[in-house]
Amino acid sequence: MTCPVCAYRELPYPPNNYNICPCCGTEFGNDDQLVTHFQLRQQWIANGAHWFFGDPPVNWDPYVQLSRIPVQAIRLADIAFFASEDLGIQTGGGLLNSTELTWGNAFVVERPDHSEAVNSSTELSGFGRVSDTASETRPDPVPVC
Amino acid sequence: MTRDIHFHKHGRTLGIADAEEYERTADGFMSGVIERHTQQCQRPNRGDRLRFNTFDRRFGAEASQEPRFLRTFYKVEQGHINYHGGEQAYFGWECGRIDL
Repeated sequence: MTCPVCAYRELPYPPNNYNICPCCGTEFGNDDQLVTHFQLRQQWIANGAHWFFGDPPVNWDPYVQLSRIPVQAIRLADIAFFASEDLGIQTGGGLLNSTELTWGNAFVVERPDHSEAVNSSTELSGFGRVSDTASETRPDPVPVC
Repeated sequence: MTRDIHFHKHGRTLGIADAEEYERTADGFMSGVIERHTQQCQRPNRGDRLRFNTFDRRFGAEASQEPRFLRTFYKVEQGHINYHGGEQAYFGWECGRIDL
């Protein structure tokens, strides 16, 4: 199973019922009561993205691990939070007013009016917060007259 | 409960020195006589049995179906309690949770 916070793929139990990820230390059902997985991920990165419990796997690299997170797994609300809180960008109720947002090596989200989310993948399993964010960032394929 | 990782996460805030003591304390909290300021409930659909001490904010959860085991034991952050409007409201919310 994959941790929805840090993308660690060897989670030995489901991310619920107070199980704790040995990589990022998230206790599911407790730590994610009031904040999203995206916010927890930000906190983990801000604190150095250290391995939480025991010894990390050989050659473990948190940023390589984070780069596996598909852009489809990012919720609209998370992106709005990211934009407003981290970059000081006023979203004005829209999805993104910035020209682009980057976050580590993980993803790039470009302006929705002339592009679509890039660097996406089809790796969606294990993420409970998959939403239709990507579709909201794509232009309508059929022009409306 | 995977004891060691839970101790690693919560031991310090509970003032507990080692994993064995953490397990003993959690067992005593969940299985002993219900202390003053401690409340107990069971989540819907034969869900977890919970205890919460409104004075020192200790919280424990135990799987109520066989095999019974401790899921967690920790001190609830004051911010979580405040978010729900106080100790009673917080525990009421915990008791009603079916999202786990």
